[in-house]
Amino acid sequence: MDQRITNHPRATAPGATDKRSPRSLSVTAASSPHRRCRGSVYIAVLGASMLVTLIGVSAVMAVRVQGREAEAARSAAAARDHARSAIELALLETRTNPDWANDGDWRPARSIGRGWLTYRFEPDGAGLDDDDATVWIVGVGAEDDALRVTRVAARRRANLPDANWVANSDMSRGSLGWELFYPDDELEYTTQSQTAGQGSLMMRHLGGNFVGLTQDLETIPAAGETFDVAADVRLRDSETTLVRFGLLLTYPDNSQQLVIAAFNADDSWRRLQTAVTPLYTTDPIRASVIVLVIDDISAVLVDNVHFQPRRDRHQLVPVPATWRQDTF
Amino acid sequence: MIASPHHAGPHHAGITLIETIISVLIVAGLFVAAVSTLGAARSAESRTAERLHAQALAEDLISEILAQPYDHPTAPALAVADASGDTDRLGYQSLNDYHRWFSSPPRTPDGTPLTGYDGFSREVEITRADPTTLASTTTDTGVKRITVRVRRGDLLLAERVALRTAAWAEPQLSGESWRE
Repeated sequence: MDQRITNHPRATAPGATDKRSPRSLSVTAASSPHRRCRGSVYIAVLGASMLVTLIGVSAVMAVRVQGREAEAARSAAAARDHARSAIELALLETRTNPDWANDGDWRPARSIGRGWLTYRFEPDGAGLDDDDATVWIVGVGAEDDALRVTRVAARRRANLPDANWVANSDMSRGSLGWELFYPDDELEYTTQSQTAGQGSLMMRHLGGNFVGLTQDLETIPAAGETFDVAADVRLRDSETTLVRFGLLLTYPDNSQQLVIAAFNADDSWRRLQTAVTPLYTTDPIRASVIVLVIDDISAVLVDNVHFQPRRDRHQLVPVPATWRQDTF
Repeated sequence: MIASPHHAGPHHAGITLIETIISVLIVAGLFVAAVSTLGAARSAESRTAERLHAQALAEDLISEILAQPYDHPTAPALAVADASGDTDRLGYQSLNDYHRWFSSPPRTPDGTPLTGYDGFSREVEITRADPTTLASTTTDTGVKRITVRVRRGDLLLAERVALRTAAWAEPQLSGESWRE
């Protein structure tokens, strides 16, 4: 307290006599001392209260902001997942619905998690029904307040280059990679010209049945997926017989499944082609592409064997490095 | 002028005990409230940090799963697979392998426990889904729903859901390139 009382005994120097009349003594105070004391206390209490309240409210606000940020990050990540899932559903539609290109509208929104997703196909210049044009798949995902849009360019699978699963398919390296279906049979490599001037492989029949070529595939074909098989075949001599080719699957218990098609072959080169769809229910351990003749003939020439997943023209495949994500 | 202390009266001199006590009580009450609020805030901050960690763990695992192929649903793996007893994920080759994967604490693909995540657990559920409604189904429709949950104890901290379809194929992963 800044109260100064000059007539207080302790205000006089020790040993000194105060000559002044008590009535002439003056009391000086900076202001009303008691009110100032009381006001100061009130201000101190109020200030402390405000300070403590401010600290508490700030802490609560900071935590709320952190919580909202965390929730926003979670929602954004979920919305991004939904948008990417929408792209996957769009790709599935191109596989299951040949008429997808007739509809460029947004597909009905579907609920997922705590949000939803939808997608549409957008042409890139040309129309959606142009087989050679790039198509943009736009996927939208939302969760709570977050919305994410992901787009990727896609092209029809038929525009992809050939991906032949057969090695040395044109026999340009002789019989490398090929073996007889029955090892005891005799295999000869012939240089007989094909149309393209390449060699072919001749299987000479020695009296048994099921003369043929086989080659193990490094990749096991997926069940349910359709594969195109093709080969150039001719009989060496003037004969006509059935030629069978397809897929031979071997299972862990050594049982085998033959997915095969038969065609007539004669002494002229013919391009035989078919589709096979393995429908096994357990995983095979080995897959081989085969070309067989069953009838008793002298020799068969085989060339340009082709085995690849079917490429339906309507099925889209994403183009690498074209993923785009828009954020809001 | 003489200002006697008596003019103010004894009841006005200085701060009364009652005022002091009331002031102390007010400040003490506010202090207790503030400490309690700070404690609650600290607790909430801790939960937020836990959720962020959980989201990171979920993101990590779902990214790993989405790098796997769809595999075929007629293979028996989905129906009978139960990865809850597995200690690592190194041999996993398809979504089906992750069905019912559970680990506490969370582990890296080679089975090494992640440090600093005591009490956390991660679990995976793979289910078939209808492409139109995304509802669960027992038949193959070409869609699988991947659900990753991260918990601390019984408390669910993070959940991520994503779809993988049979049509998915990364061209660069399948060895295909583009004809220019």
